[in-house]
Amino acid sequence: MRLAVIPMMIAWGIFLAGTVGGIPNLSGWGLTASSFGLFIMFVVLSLRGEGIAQTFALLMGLGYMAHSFGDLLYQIYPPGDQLGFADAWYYVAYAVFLAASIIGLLFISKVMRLSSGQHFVFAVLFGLMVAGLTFVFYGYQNWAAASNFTARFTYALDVLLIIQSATIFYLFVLNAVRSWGGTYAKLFVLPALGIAGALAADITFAARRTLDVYYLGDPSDWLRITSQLFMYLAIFLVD
Amino acid sequence: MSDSSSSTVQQVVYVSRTLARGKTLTDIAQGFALTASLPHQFTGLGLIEYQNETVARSLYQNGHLLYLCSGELEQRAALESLQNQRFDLRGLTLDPLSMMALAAATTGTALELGNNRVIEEIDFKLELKKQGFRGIVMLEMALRCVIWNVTPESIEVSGSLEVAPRRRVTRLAWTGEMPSISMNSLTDTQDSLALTQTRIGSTQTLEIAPEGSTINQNKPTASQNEYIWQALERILRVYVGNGAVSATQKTRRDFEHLGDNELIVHLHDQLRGFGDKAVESFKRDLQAQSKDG
Repeated sequence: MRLAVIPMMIAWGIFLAGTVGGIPNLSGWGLTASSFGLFIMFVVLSLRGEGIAQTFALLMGLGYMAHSFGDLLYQIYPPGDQLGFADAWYYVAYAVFLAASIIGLLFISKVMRLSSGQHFVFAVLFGLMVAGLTFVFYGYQNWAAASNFTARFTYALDVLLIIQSATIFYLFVLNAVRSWGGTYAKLFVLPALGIAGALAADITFAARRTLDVYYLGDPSDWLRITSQLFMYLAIFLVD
Repeated sequence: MSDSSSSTVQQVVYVSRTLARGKTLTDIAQGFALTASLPHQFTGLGLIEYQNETVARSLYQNGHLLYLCSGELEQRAALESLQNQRFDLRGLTLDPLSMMALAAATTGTALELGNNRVIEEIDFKLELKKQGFRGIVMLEMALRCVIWNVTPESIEVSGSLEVAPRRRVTRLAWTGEMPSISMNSLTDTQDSLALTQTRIGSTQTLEIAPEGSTINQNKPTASQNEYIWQALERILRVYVGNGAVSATQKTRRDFEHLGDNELIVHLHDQLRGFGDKAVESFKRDLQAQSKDG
């Protein structure tokens, strides 16, 4: 859907203006615009689609709606003062993405008469493993450095986000591999890359020494908006 | 069925009602006993009502009760149950079969009966399945009238006959003993049935299978339904690419025992997840192949 280029350009324009131009906090508004644009684009995609692809696109759209709420909260409230509300919205967004990935898994498994249950277990284990490794390498230091309940709560939600996004990544990749060569592979392969970017962003965020640092050109911001670029590309190519 | 039970027969008063097509029974008689045969050469559907509720549905063929269902009871059991009930049945509404696309009697929710609508067989079967329909359906398709025995598990063809083109009055008439159409019979005969189709100005006689020897179009050999599997693989290849071959093989392994009709219904259900375009494409593919074949 060529229309996807418009919100993507707007979001990147704002993000780059904030990051490269050195305008405080503007990069965050670019992220918010990107998520909101994906919400609109996925809803439009669902209206144009049918069958399971329609459901998938609608769920992705709803997920990005929640994601854009999270981005907005981060813009309004400093990360250290919000009791994890923004992360809670991200958590909701990823739960919806997870639902989309599970629906895809169930449908493709049913059609192709392949197993779904065991792969779901593998996906969750993969999520736990990634989150565990993140904690081993970075987490305990950050947890120890967290000065108050808000910081610890935010950090805990971020770990949950890592579990979710890694699980989703596994399921998207599985669906893409199973449907390789067909139109459904397009539906999953680029979103898989997008979720991989989001996962990397979550890990980068969790790897910080302190949550109170928020600066222009944050690597997690770059990763997040790049991950969303893959989503725009998916919309562009699928429809 | 003999009329020896007439002493217990409930007299049914027909409720006058203007029907969309054909003559109502009031043109023939004011009332009659609820027995296995009418004193009139009526062919069509009967709805037996009590206090504005349908308590039974029946299908008459040339005055003979072909099929009757009341609640969960069917055929003789339903007839005897109704005859033995002491409540005052409000009436029997009969809908002539002439020029109907569809006639149905059901133990479940009534279908939209007797409509002169265009029906696509595959979709209609899906609709029957979804509704949990159970009973007898007579469906006029082009120049053929198919009689189906519908159960929750399967839809079996119980017989068929040629019918006149639309716009011509078609009367279906059984000769000899009343047919049983592979159900628990209301009749005592097991004879082969000769079905006479009386058209205006012409008569044709066709054989219909006796009870127990259902005309079974649903058990094809592998080569007969090969075209279905090929069509499935083509559709799957569009959506799931390289996995289509193994998916088709596995589906085939699991559902090869199904007859053509059941298989197509099942595959429609499966493909519907891809959307209506996939189902339509599958249908077109099947039609194209059946024409080629």
